[in-house]
Amino acid sequence: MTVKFRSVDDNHYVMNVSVSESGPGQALKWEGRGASHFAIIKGRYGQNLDLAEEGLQEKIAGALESGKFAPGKQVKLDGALGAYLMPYAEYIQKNAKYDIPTQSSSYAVFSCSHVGDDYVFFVPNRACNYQINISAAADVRVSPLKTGFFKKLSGYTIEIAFDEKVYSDGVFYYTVSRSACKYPVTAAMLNKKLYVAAEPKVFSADSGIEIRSAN
Amino acid sequence: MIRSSEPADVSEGVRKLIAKAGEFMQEKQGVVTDYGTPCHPSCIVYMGGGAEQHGVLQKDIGHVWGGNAEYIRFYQMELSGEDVSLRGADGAALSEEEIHAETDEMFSQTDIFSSMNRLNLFFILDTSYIENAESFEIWYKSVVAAKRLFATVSRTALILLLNESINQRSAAKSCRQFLKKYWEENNKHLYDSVFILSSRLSSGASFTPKPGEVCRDHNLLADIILLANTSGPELQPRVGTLYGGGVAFITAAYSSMQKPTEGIAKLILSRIFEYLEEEKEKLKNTSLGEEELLSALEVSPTKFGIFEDFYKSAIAPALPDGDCLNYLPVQSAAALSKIQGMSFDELNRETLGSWENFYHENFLQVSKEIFEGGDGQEAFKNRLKKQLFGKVKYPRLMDGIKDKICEDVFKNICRAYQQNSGSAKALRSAGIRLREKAVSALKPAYKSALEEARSGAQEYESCFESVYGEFAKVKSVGKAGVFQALEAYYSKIADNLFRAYIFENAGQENRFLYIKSGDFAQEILDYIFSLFKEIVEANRSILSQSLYNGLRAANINAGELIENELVSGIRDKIRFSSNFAFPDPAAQIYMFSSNAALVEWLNKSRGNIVASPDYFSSGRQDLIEMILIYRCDANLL
Repeated sequence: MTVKFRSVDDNHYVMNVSVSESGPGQALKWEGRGASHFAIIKGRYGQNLDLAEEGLQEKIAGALESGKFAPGKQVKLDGALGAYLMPYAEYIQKNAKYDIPTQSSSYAVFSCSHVGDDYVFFVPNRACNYQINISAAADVRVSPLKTGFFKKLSGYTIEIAFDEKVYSDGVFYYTVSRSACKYPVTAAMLNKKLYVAAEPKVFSADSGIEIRSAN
Repeated sequence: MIRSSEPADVSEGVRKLIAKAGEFMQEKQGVVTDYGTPCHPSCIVYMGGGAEQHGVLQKDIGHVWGGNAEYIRFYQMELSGEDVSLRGADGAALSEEEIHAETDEMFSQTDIFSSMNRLNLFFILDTSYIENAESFEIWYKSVVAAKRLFATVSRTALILLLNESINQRSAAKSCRQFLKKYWEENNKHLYDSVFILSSRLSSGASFTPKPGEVCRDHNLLADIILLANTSGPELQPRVGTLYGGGVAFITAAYSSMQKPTEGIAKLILSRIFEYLEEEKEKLKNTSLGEEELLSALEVSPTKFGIFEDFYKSAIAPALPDGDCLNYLPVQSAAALSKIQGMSFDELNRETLGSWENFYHENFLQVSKEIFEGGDGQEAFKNRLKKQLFGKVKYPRLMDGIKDKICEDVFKNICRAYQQNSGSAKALRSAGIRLREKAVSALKPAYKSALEEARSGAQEYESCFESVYGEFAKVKSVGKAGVFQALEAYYSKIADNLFRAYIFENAGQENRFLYIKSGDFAQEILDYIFSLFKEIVEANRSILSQSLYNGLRAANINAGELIENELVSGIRDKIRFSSNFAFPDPAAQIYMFSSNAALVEWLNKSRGNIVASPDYFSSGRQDLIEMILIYRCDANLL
């Protein structure tokens, strides 16, 4: 097997990658030509997914050679980096779309020619708009506890609305003015009402997820 | 790298040790109780240069006059044409009024000076500063103007330090010729007395002094001033030989016998080295067992104190305090007030896993940064090493610790932290879990500490051997003379004193066997010196014995020794050289601390050159000096 990387040409390219609503979720869209496959690479929000970036070509080639990365299979390359090799037939069948979860992330799509045992990836230039950053938002509601009739309660309730399926523990955290510590938010805490002894202020360690106040 | 600083130069260190030990013994020689009194108010005037050497002269004078020596004024004299000016001790130029005030002040010190009928002026002129006959003549004659400055009755002495080294010989010759001519033309000098002390001896031997150092190497210059100006019934006959007309110049021969304090110090140091060598050799090839290592590291079944100290100083300050738990998220308002009472697992369930995440982020991560970073491992390793050096005698570390013992002890250490923390409240439980993790992470530091303790002990040993070897080399130097005569006697004393010291201190830890780390050579030298000081202090009465008593106790043939050390060849030691024969000495003066027995002993010796030698109390118990005074005609010049 050989894996090669070449610059795009008029007959082999991907351009104008975008996101569209697709039923309950969302989907990637792009314009492509001359490919037998499309390689869809997923990374952290804002991550540079340029094929010329050091290491990415080696990771793709390594995964292909090991057989982990093959047409129609999702593969995790490294850390938050994932890849999917979409046959052109599937692309047509799914109306030139690729469904993605509602999750902050970055995607890049590359044109790929697969003939026999050989793969050729076409390395696009910036003008192709082959990469897109997708942001997400979490809605946070913080309310002071109501004073009871017999008993004075002090504290706050906090509710963070976010899809726990695409969440990793600790991406959100909160602070309180009385402590220098950061309090991690776990997936189990999402979409539930919880109680904190002082007013929490929520932050996201993922710059792709916006914290919105729902108060 | 074991050492924290550059190692001391062993040879230099050993030489310094011996010198320090000698000086210490000299200091402990005993208090002089019979200080002399200066007779007349006096000033020492350095003509042209040499005042910077005054400290040495003052110290020598102080041996006899004690604090009284500080009342003697000294000046640096300068010429400008025929004008004379003086600078004081601080180097500042003095006006005539200031000089008068200082002189008046001396004349008011009736408790210091015994006679106020004149001022004694000692002019010291080092010919190293003289270029030719003309400049010498100007300096010679400047005494007239100088006497006017003091404006009081004075007696003057010129002490000419004649530098006759090759470079200065021509200038020295001009000086001699001028003095001869002046004497022959006037049959007197402008001074009441002219002393000449040359760098060329009567034997023809000479040395090359630096400017101001013609007379620095011995006490002769001080002795002349002392003999000329010390109160006492024996003063007059002696002064008569030092002053008075009729002679062109006076010179002297000098010899001395000094108690060999440095040699005695070397004998005691030798015993110390031998003792340390024996002590360490006994402990070699006895490496540590498991129990001993556990004990040295102070590991108990439930605690490892060194780690606890380290935890408290390095980790605990970086951890959040107990109050931080109060702001964790809980599932009910009622649970807010129960957080502090929950166990680790209860709190984790109540916070939907936030506590575990919090613990990981704020406790584990912090300690990981400290222990897995180089600084934490290094600091802990150094702490363990210090503990081993401080608790284990170094020869026992030299073979290293066997791997199995090393592993078993570490298991014991870990076991002290493998406790069930399930029921403990969350924060305490977090501390226990954290300690368990941290102590495991420190294994590399533990192993390095044992290895470095081994290599450090070997290095210390090699350093000791090097110091000892160097000492053995240096101690054999300088055994001639009085030391040779007294070596056997003081050797025995050193041996006895050392045995007594060891006997009295039996059962006490030998600090030499514990490494303090740092500069090993310096550490060893410092320890030896401290032991030396203890021994000398404890036996001060024996070691401060006077030279005379030492000689007697050692059954030395005094007459023979005195003849060998003081008298033999003395005529070759006259501090002047001439083609003409010297006259017989006008006086033979012995100088030492008052001692009737010694006077009697010396009177009986066959070394006396004149019929009735003079005796002068110098206050020094460790030094016997002899001076011959020669009153010379001009033809010797």
